[in-house]
Amino acid sequence: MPLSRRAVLGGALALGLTGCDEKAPEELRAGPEVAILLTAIAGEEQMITLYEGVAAAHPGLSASVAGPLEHHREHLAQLRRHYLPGTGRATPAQTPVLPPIPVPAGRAPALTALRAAEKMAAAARIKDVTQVPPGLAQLFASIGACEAGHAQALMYR
Amino acid sequence: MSPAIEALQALLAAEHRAVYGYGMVGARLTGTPRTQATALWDAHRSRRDQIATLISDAGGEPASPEATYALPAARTPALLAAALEEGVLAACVPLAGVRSANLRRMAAQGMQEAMIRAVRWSRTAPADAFPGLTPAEVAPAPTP
Repeated sequence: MPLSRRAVLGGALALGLTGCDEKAPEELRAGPEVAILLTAIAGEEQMITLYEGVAAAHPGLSASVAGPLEHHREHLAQLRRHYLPGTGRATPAQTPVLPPIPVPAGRAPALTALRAAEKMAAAARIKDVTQVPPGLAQLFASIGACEAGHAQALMYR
Repeated sequence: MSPAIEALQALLAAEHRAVYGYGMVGARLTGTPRTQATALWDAHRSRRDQIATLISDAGGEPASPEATYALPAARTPALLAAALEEGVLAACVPLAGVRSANLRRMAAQGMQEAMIRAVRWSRTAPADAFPGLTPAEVAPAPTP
């Protein structure tokens, strides 16, 4: 038996699909954490590009950079999972774009550049933890610890 | 117990363990490493006292240390020290999720400090991409 017109209309009203003056579905609002998440994502992408550049320019360092590079890829993957595209007004135009960090020609300066990038990222995570929801704060705190650890470990290369 | 006090108690327990453990570490080292171990033993005692004060200021009763601790198995005193720091790092995670911004910042800084110390002792890079987190804590919960 076909659905009654009333039943169909009732369903459509619930979905906000009619032109009636029913209350529209609540607009998803972006919390402040969206901007912070997007900046962190951009930072990880910048870091990955730097590591890849160092590995390409300094094959002797590829063993040293493989571990942190893999970690940053995992950070990026998890941060992306936390970001739901379409929440609020964050648009691709508002996604921060960070310029690539130049890859130094010398081996020692390249390591210095990696350490500096890790330290800056770790410092940024300290600021981030106070401005995001609890679960994300713990993730950021952990990522920051990883970054601080790599900054230190690169001293031994 | 409030979530903040509970988180502080977890960290305090890890600091008690670290103070005990660093005593063992120092006893097995000589020279410069021993000096470093003693300095870190002092640092952990200070941090222990600071956390205990935070707990009592918040109306809690700071947890007492155990008489002895079963310490992590480690091939060398330096690796034992690294393991103690990793324990402190993991114990900071609940505090990183409490409401107070100051306590979160303290937790995040504590995790970085513990990691740096662990790396200095072990001379190896972090093994995990997400130090201190369980797999469930890493992945976001599915949204309904």
